[in-house]
Amino acid sequence: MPVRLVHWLIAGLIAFSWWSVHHHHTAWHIWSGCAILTLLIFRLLWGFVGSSTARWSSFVRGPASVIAHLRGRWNGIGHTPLGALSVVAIFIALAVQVGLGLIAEDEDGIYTGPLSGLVSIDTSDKARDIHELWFNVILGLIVLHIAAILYYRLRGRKLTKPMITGRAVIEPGTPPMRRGKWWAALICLAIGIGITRWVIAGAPPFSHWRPS
Amino acid sequence: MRSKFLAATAACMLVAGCGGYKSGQANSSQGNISKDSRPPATANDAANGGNAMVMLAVPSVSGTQAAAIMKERHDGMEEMGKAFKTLHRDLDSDDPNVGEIRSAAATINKNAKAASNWFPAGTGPEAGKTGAKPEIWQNPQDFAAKLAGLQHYAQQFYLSALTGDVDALKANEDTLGGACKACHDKYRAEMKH
Repeated sequence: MPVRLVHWLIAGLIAFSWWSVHHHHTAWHIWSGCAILTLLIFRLLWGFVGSSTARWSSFVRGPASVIAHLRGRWNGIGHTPLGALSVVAIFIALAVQVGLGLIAEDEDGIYTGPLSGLVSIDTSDKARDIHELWFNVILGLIVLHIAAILYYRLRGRKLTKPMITGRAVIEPGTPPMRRGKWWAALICLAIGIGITRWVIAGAPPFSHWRPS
Repeated sequence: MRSKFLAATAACMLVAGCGGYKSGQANSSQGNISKDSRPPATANDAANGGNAMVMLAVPSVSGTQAAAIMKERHDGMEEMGKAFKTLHRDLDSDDPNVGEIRSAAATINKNAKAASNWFPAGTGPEAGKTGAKPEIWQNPQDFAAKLAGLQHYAQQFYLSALTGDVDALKANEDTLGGACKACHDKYRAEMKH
């Protein structure tokens, strides 16, 4: 459930970030990025203490499993070994994007990322340029992600519904998932919000970042 | 005799026009429209940085003249942007450098005034690479009012920079940034260097 919630929230926030920055709502864009940062921190931690299918250690496998999977010899619930690479790639790409956004500033210097005060004006401007370009990397990964879902769909497996309802038909003999603890989720969320709040304050010794 | 009288009238109008920046910018640009509809003084007013309405009504420019104005406009905008970034960082820091803010404010004030001459007809995208949208020349009154707004707030910010009151500067920074944004949202196209 936390995994699904985070997934759909991030999907919505990416769309919102794109829309807001193209319609001159830069302040909303920045807050959207801060929300994504919170979710990324949550997801990172949940990958260590969450449900069995959420754990990095349970689904991120070596090349041998990826090959076995491609040859059709893989059975389990949650992400496939190849799908895991996609999860990790999208996670890293988003983390890079948020990091660039935090130190960036807009063309006019009216809006600045919360951590832009830690770098020079030139670095901030450079970060903005890369932030814009990097979005194409994220778009590419999203396209791949959706293409994979369509591919499975054509082969008769519907992946979207389980990602919404949390219920999937699993083959007999597959070990079931272990649910995460609700209080562990709360702690992860609290840490995510706490770190984000610290970043919004302007980080290390608390500078005086103002959203605009 | 008659020409002396005309010159004196023009001089009065100029002074009145400049004074207008200090009181509400909407009024001043309204006032200028009626003054500038009189035939003789227009080009001179624009050259003196008198007001925005005039320069949009100036006969259009082309060729090297247009290129020179566009270059000056681009460099001036870059300079203003850099100055704004500098003062924004100062005002965000624990220990704002008032001297730096003051010189940034002076740079913005100077360029905001000069901007009256930066948008003659013929310096849009048809003349070359620019972030200036054709809408500028389709909405001359609105554009002029927004430019007058920038000039007003740039002056206000500069005056508070002279006093060095950081809280007042922070408040004035928001209105100044708002004046930049008002025009950029509507009249600037995305432009890659």
